[in-house]
Amino acid sequence: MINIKNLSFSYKKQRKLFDSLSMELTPGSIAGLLGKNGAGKTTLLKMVSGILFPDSGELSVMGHQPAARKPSFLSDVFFVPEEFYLPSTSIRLYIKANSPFYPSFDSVLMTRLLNEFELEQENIIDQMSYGQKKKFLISFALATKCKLLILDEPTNGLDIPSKILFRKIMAGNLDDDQLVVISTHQVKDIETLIDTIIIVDNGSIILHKDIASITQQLHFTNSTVAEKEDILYSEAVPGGYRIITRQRNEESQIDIELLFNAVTKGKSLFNTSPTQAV
Amino acid sequence: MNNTFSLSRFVLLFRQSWLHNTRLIWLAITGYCGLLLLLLLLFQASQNFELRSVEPYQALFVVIFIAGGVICAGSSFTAFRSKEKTYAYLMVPASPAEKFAVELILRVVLFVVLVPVLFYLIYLIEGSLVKALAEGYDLKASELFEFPSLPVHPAGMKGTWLTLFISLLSSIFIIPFTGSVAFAKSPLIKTLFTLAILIIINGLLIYFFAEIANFKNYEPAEKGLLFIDSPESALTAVTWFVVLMDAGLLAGAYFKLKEKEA
Repeated sequence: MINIKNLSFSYKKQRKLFDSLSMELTPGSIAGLLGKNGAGKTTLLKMVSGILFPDSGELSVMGHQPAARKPSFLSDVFFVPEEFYLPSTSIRLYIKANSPFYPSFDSVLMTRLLNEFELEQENIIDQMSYGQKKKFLISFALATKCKLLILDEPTNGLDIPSKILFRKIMAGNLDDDQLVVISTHQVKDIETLIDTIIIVDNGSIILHKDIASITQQLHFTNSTVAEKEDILYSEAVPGGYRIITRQRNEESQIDIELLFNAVTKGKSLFNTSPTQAV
Repeated sequence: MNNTFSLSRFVLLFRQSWLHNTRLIWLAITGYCGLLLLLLLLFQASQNFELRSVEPYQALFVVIFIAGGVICAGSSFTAFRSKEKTYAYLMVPASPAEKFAVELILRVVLFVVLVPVLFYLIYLIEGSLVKALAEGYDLKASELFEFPSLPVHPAGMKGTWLTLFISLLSSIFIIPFTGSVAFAKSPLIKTLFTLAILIIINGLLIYFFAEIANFKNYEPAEKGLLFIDSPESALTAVTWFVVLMDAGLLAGAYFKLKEKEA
């Protein structure tokens, strides 16, 4: 669905943010795009959405060049930015004005999601809190049934119950032909949601793997020692260490934060190429 | 799917703009009508309800039409004033041609149609009120849009003069309209500033060629300079210049919109 080959990008009068970036993403998954501040996560999402143009390289989304911003492309992509604008109108009027642009818009789902997020159709969007606006926009994005949903920091501003609800709603309302790309710093919020991890650092993708393949190769656990023969990476935590080892044929829950720190510190965790496509 | 221009999508976009801005549009219309009525009544009251000439009304109309038009066209593409609005606008599933057309109609065409109509209605209402208050007041309803003091009356214009008049009138709207796409922050101020600089540069160039290079005394042996050899051909040249400038500015605005990034 998303094919990127040798993509380069730089902002005016700044050094290159991406140089020869390549990546491929297929439908039917929820990908978590992780990276440090300024790594270029949002920029990459903007290029995929077509609101920023790459300097060179190939970028194809569902067979379209996003920069052309053709209506047939835009009606299948929904971008929820971290900072967004919503007009001063009611939820009902917003839906009435914007849903016809999306041919697969599911009004029944929209109503159900609004109920789950406890939002009223007659609420004036302008008068809602940031978290409520975000919940509304996420609901609208899901109801569009767009093939590609791009969410930039979707859990920012959501309270704890809303974050739990967000995960539940995301997990239960996606079709097999949809692809969701979530960019976030708050990895704990999406740890149980994503099935693919992409880590961006210094203008390139340093990890692109699905969760299943990571847990097949790595084991995440606690230890009282930081250094041992089979420990690939360790971090001090209260009462000991969180460690990553090679798979010990034991089940373990992936610790994305630990994995992220290990990968961005240049630890070699995998035998295969880190930029391998899924 | 037609990705260049679809009438149904154009209608949807128009409807979206209307639904998002219903309150604002009604507020603007009510505000304009209310203020205008108040202004006209105060104007009449200051003249002890003895104002009989339509010329002050015409002057006010011209000021409102030009100043309002510049402000209205200069505030087109409000989405480009902030990054968040720009994301939302660029991601609306409509083509640049549809977005361009909706904006042009909302900010220029509707203004050109609505403002004179509303002005005329308020003029009639005010006239009727004054007639009820002052004896002998004669409402000259049909004279409002007659401009006897102009050397060439708009209704009587033909051919090149008419083209020039329409083109110059269009420029009043097209220049700020283009500026609103080209400049993200304070577009109207920047447009007027750029325009002022261009006019000054042109003035200096004319001064240089005419006075310093002494072109004003240039007398070609046979015909006039280039193809301009009579007042008529000078008028045609100026008209062509204004028409091409308007077309170029509109094309520039369209391509700027198409290439807009956030």
